[in-house]
Amino acid sequence: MRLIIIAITTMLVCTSCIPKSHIEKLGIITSVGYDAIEDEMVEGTLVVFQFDPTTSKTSQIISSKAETSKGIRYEANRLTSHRLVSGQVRLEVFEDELAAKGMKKYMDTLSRDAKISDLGYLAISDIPTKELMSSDQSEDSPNIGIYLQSLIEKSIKNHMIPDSVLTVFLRDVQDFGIDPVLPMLSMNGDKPYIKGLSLFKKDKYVSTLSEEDIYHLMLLRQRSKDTEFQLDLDSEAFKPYYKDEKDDVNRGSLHVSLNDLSNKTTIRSVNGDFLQQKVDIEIEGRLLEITKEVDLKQPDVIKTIENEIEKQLKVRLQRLMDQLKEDGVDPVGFGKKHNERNRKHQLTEEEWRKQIPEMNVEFNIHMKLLRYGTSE
Amino acid sequence: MNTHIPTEKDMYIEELKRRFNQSPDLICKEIQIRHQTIVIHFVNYQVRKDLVERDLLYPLTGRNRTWSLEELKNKIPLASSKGTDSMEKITKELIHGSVSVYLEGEQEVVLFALPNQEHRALNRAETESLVFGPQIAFTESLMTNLNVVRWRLDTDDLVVEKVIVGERIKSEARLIYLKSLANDTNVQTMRQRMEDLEVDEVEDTSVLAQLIEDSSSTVFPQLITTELPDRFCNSISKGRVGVLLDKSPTSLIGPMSLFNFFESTEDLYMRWNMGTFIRILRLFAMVLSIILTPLYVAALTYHYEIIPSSLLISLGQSRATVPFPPVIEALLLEMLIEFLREAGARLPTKVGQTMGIVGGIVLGQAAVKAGFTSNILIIIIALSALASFTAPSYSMGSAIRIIRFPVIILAGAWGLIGIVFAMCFLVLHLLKLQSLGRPYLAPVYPLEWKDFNDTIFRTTPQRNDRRPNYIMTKDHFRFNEKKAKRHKDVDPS
Repeated sequence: MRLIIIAITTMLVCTSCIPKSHIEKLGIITSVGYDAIEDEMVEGTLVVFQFDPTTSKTSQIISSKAETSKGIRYEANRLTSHRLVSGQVRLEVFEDELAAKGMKKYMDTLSRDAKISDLGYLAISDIPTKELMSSDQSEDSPNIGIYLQSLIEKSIKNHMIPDSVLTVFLRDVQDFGIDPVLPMLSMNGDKPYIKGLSLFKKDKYVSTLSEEDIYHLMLLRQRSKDTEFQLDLDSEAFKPYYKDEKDDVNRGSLHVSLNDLSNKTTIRSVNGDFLQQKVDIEIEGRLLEITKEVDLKQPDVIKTIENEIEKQLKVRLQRLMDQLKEDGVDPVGFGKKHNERNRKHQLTEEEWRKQIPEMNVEFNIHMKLLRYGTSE
Repeated sequence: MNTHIPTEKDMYIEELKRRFNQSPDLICKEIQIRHQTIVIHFVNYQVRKDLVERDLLYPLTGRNRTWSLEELKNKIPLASSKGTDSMEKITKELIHGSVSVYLEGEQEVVLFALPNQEHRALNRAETESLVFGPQIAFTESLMTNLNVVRWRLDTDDLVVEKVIVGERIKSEARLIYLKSLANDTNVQTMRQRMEDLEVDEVEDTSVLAQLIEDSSSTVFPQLITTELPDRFCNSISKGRVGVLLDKSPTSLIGPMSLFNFFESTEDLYMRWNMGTFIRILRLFAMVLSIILTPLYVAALTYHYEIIPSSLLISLGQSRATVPFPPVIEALLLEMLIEFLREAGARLPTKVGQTMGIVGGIVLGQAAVKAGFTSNILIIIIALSALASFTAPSYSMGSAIRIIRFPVIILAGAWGLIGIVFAMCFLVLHLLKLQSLGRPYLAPVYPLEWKDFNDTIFRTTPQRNDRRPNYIMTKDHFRFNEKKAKRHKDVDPS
């Protein structure tokens, strides 16, 4: 009995000074945007929950300027009666100008602060985040921060963009052989949307990949499932299969919409030479839509479509590779894959970085259309 | 101490009167047959007067001869007759509903037992009501209860032992078990604990349970008290030891594990999948009931990080106007629920219902409207109160409700750490408990996978072929599982 009393008193004495944080007294930050301003200073825009039952507005936007991300929170604390806390931060957006200077110094605090979730999302914005966060187009989400977060989350779940959580980004920054990518946000009128993918060279933002090319990068970077993509094919090849050649629909180029049911990509260096890459891609897909009156029942027509798709994809992948080489980045992870497979010819970080623009990639695509719907 | 019976008639009558404190209920009747004086004594309402007249007075006065002691014992057509020479014995038997017949000049008195005991008839179970299955409940009369038990356990294997408990006011108890099943140590433990009792009175079985339990300081009951004969008999046939106490409408069963308190015989009467579902539901309800309110308190006081962001707004908005910290708020509402329960239990049924509506709906609604509590807490408290009432054993339900208060306070003081501390303490405490010397947390600890059947879940009756291991019965198998298989088709004859 005496032991129990001693134990309880010890616990009381040692631990009863946990700081209380009653939620109604907190300003809970849900997302943060960072903008570059003059003189090494950073402007932070915080989206903060406010619990006021009398108004329908459940959040407020606070901006402050400081040198560090913690400093921003400290400064912002002077602007509100609530204590600002970052335990619910699920999204951090960086302006492209700031990201171009390097993200490392921000990553340090994000990864070391135990209060910040490691599974929070990161994004880049090509307009000042202050503008982005001020948008009131948040659909049914309680505030813009949660809207952006669910926008990114949904896109990742549907394999529309690569994973952009903090841990994945940090891993890609710290590993050599692969460069990180993050979603690029922008505004369409007054509504934020995902514009494309931002490419990084180590932790520095380099350029943006257009929305069209995201699928191609995804094809190379990670195994995806059940995504949709559009291609425009050479209409000449389909001439023999038109139902009615003189039909008006058959003018102009031919577009197809495809559903990628599963794909498998193997990347290997030919004979252990990093400069000679061979990429095999097997795609099993479903034809969703074709813009011309092609008679799908004719023999060989499916084969022709498959061939045309393969051809077109190859062109596009080459175009993507050209851009990557030009920027000198390797978000696909050629270097990592090379080092995993070739124990004898290991690349160092410098070699890998230097050799990226000289890489020669050969694509070998095998497209298979499993289903194309019923046709009469 | 044995006082001899006075041979003088008047002295005998005086002596009895003195022993009965001059009670007006002691009826004395003198009969004169020739030279012989016969004195008959009985306590007014303790005997069946119609039988006394028909079976005793009529044969006594019906012949014109004197009676001898031997004749009195053998010729009167009553089943129970015995002679005694001690005044103490006469007094005791008279209270228990005997009629004493005294022949003047004799050293011995003959006693005829014609007891008339007022008790209610067998009735429907009230506190442990079942949807299906046998509906009768035990009554206050030991004889009626024994009758029911003998009827349900129709085997010569049944042992019924008599134990007297209480020093000043003695109560008769019966130790009931199956000879070929019950573990001797269990029986001996139960018997010895009852025999060793040195209290002046045992009011009820629930008091007896508290007196003989392994640990009296804990909130957890270690022996089950039940008013259902089917539950009692079911436990006996599993190899447990049961106790029936006179004047108490509940029976006592042991040894029990924690999980048995969440069983109801109804689970057996229902199909196995339904029974399993309900049993797991009850266990889940217990955990929920203990942990839900503390979690609310901890999350809102310390750990805003763990609240899902979609819930954050409604939580924050309902909390914004509440003037108290979450601990006080939660304790206040828990108190409210306890007030309601207690008031509902004390008030007459008709008023009780109105109370429930007034207290539950009006008070809850008004409290939220006035910004006194948050509406999410109302939901949580109501949910955990509801969950605590799912335990089939009322004493276990009360135990769960009591445990919640310290856990809430700990959560308010140390947040999740407090809850973890409370849970650790609870688990350690449960590990330490015993029921008749058998582990209380069986079959989880000591782990016995086979005992999970019919403790935590139920399988089909054909596969339920074992008795729980922790009771240490003499025969672990109820039947041969292979032979119990159902024939799918009718055998060709």
